[in-house]
Formats: sequence, C-alpha cells, structure tokens
Amino acid sequence: MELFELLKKLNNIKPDPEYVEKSKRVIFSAPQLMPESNTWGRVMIGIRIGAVTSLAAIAIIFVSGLFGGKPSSVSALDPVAIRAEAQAIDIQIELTKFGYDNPTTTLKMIVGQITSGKSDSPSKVGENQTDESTSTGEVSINQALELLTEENE
Amino acid sequence: MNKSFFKKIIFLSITLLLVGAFPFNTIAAEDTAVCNLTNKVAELNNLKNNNEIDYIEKRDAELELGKEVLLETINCAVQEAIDLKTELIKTSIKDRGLADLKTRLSADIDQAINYYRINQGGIRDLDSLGLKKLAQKILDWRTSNYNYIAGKVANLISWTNNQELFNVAENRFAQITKITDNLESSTDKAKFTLREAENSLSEAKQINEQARTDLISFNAPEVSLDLIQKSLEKLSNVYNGFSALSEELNKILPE
Amino acid sequence: MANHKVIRNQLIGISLSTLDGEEGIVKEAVRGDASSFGSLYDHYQPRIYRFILIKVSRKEEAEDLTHQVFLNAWQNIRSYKNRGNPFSSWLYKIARNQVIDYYRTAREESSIEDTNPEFFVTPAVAHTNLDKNLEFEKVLLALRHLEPGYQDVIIMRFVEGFSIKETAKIVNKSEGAVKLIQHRGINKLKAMLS
Repeated sequence: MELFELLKKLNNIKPDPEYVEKSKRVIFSAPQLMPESNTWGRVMIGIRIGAVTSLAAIAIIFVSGLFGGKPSSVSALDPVAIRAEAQAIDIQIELTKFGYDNPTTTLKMIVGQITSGKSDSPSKVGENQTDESTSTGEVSINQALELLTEENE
Repeated sequence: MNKSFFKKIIFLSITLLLVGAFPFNTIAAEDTAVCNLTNKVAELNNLKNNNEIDYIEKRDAELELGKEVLLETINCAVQEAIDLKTELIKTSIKDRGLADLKTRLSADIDQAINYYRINQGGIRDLDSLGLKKLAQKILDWRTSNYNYIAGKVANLISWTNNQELFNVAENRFAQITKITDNLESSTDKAKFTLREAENSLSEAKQINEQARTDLISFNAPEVSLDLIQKSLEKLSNVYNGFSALSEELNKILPE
Repeated sequence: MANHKVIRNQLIGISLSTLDGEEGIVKEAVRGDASSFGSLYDHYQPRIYRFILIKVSRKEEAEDLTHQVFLNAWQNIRSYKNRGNPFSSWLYKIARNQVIDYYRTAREESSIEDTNPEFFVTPAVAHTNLDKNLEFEKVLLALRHLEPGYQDVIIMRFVEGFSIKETAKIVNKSEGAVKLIQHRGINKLKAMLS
C-alpha cells in the first residue's frame, strides 16, 4: 500500500468506548481552577530576631581582660561578673540546641556573637526555625529547592 | 581603684553596649544578606497561584522562572559555602588534631562549591521535569553531604570558642579556691560548695575533651554537638556553685 | 464518480477539523458550561488519542496521557484565551507537553535499547481493525523515529487530514514552514521504509 494511503488509514484508530466514558466521568467530576483577580502567592514573612541583651556578658569578659585578665581577689567573688560569665555560657547552650536543625545559621549566630559582638537574644534563637528559615526570616536555600520540586497543579 | 570604681566601669560598659548593640544588630542582618531568594520565590509562588493566565503560558513562564530561581538558589548555596569557609579560616586553632580537621573541612567546602558550580551549568536547557529532578538532587545532596560538612564546621568553631569560657571558669575557680583556703572563717558550707564546683568543673572538662576527640572522628555532627552541649551544661553548674560561694564568702570577707 | 467521492471525502475531512460553531462553544466552555466542554471533548478526544498513540505506541500509555490532556484542559479552561489560533492548537500543545514528559520519565526508568521495538508497536495496531498489520507496524515504527516536529505535521496533514493552513495554525508556524517540514518528513519516512 502506498505511504499516503497507510497514513490516511491510521485515522481509523479509535479509542476504546468504555475508556472514553470512564475518562469523561472522571474529568467532569474534577474541580476547575477559577481565575481570581488579585491572587497572590504565599509570601514568607519572617520575624527579625531581637537585639542583644546578653552581649554584656561578653563585654564583661573583655572588660575583665582589660584590667589584668585574671580576676583579682576582689572581682573573683564579684556577683555581677559571675552572673555575666554564666550568661555567656547559657547563650552558648541555647545556640547548640538550635544547631541540631540548621548548622549554617547557627554558625552565623555563634560567630556573630563571639567575634564581632553581634548576637541575638537566646530566648528568640529557637523561634521560627522549625522550617529552616534563616534568622532574618528570608527564604532559605532548602525552602527554595523544595518549592521547585513541588508537583505542578 | 576600689570596688565601686570597677562596678561603675562595668555598669557603664553594659549600658553602652546594650544601647549600641541595637543598630549593630539591624545593620548586621543587611550587611550579611548577599543572597536574597525571597523576591524570586514570592514571584514564583504568585505565578503558581495565578489562575487568570492561560494554562500553557503559565506552564512556560513557570519553567523560565523556575530556572531563574534554581540558578539564584545555587548562587546562594555557593555564597553560603564561601561564608562557611571564611568563618572556618578565621578561627585560630592551635590544637594539632583539630588543625588537621580544619584543613580537611576547608577542602570539603571547596568540593561542595565545585559540586554546585557543575550542577549550575546546563540549567537553561532543562525542561520542567529536568528542573524538578535537579532541584531534588541538590536538596538530597545538601541533606546528606553539605549538612555534615556545615555541622562539623559549626561544631569545630563552637568548641574552639568555648575553650575561652573554660579558661575563664578555671581562672575564677583558682582564685575562689585561693580565697577560700586563705580565709580562716570559711564555713563548711562554702568548702562543700567549692568541692561541688570542682567536681562539676572536672566533669565539664572531661566531656569537653570527649567532644574534641569526637570532632576529629568521622561521627555524625550530632554526636559531638551533644557532647559540646553537655560540657557547657556542666560548666553552667560550676557557675551555680560560684554564685553560691560569692554570696557566702562576701558575707564574711572584710570590706 | 471515484473522483467525486474523493473530493467529497476530502471536503468532509476539512469541515470536521473544527467543530461547527466552535468559537461560540469554546466561549461557553470558558464561561463554565460543562456540556459545551463535553462537545469539545467528544470532537477532539479521538484526534488527541490518535496523535498520542502514534507517538507513544502503547495503548495504555496513550489512554493515560489523553486522559491527562483533557483533565488539564477541563481544569484550566476558565483561563483559556483565544489569541487567534484554533482551540485544537491549545489541546495539541498540552498533548505534546504530556508526551515530552512521558518520554523523559520513560528514559529515566528503562533503556529503550533494551526493549524490543515490537513491544511498542504491536499492541497499538492489534486493537484496531487495520488490515495488513505488518505494513502499519512498519509505518508506526518509522513515525515514532521521526523528530517530534515532523511527526506533528505528518499526523495532522496525512492522518487527520488538516489543510496546510489549518496545520500551520495548530502548530503555530507559517504555511511555508509547514510545507517544508511536510516535505522533509515524508522523505525521511520513505527513506526509513525503503
């Protein structure tokens, strides 16, 4: 048979009537996507972590250092200094708890606190971190990747 | 220079730093924000939820925007790795075993950056399924590989910085011990509290050393993180003792 | 008489490429009228099924993909906008995308080289009433090996019977481009079949 005849004959291919009925039923029972005006997607709103309160603890350690490094017999029992040092340890403990979920962000906080004197209140360190968002509430790398792997509707 | 002068200096420092820290913290967040995925991701989310535009157009636009998001995401991941390496390099480590670890982790970070760069090429030619698969591949890799590296680096820096806290605690303990030993009127309670503090300090140092050993091993970062946390908790107990001693001994110390 | 029959068949073929009063039906379907969409479904479903079946060769896959095309169309019809191309153009584009996704997944899951090509061809033909199955098998196999662009034009022109003008609108190309693609596609087919 000539090629064009063969191609024309392919027009005889028809879907199974039973399949057609079933498919049609399923399709018409599915919801339609309605166009809406002013439809906005989800916007990530983060909460900025509050300012330093226990930076003073680090300051105490530095101040103590300025005046000879080792505590003198007077400052050895200074309750303010002791409390400040204890607070510095507590901050570190809070940061290690946070670190289980997000080591990179924890690192920024640890380093920020120790080296440059910027840090966050320990009570707020653990907030908003269950979804791996960054400390500033911006979309994280992993969140962006997860969005890209989502099934399209 | 008497006690009240020291107290004034300390109070002034606290006040200045509390006031000064607020703007520092605000500026810090913006200074360090070299990567901003939020706008692009919001744009993609808006597009996904927009049912007004034609289905085909939407699909094509989602693909193009998805590629841009993935490119930017990888750029951010590279920057994250660069930042991680910067912090690692800045950390001064004298301990030989940990210095070797530092070198190893630095090389691991370089490899991570290479991995990102390699996967970044060719994104423009992907179709929607390819884009999804690449995003998943990178996500899986980050979970299994990068988190390990980043966790180890964070632990190493954390442990290194903690040593200063241990040094300060040891010095304070030494001084308080001196006072307690020399003070004839030291009470039994004070001596008991001092021994408790000594035990806690010894335990804290032991766990600290275990954390150091574990850091060098190939264990998961969670293990050394747990040890670091425990050592700090023990150290915190030491300071409970110091506070109690301070209260007790200040009562009997001459003015 | 034979010539008249051919001309009549050709005329019927052309008039059936679009639904009578299609523009109005599409408008109603976009507004949400289910029975209007039903008319569109009844008219285009066999064509889309054939289009996909020729490309993928497996009945079950063709059924699944066709179902998906119309499901997508039904769900998104409210946002359809007539930009001067026929409604079928939209459907065929959805169908092409489905087939592309299907091939990507199939490539990931198994190597095509490992699979007997007969496995792909025989079921598609077996369930039809086509005579001379062997010749059809060869044509289908050859079609499957054509590039998608050539496949689309040849299916529309010679299987579905669309005119050059209609085909150009559906595939969103110029009439000249369609003529060239058709010419090259047929030559490639003939070369494969000789």
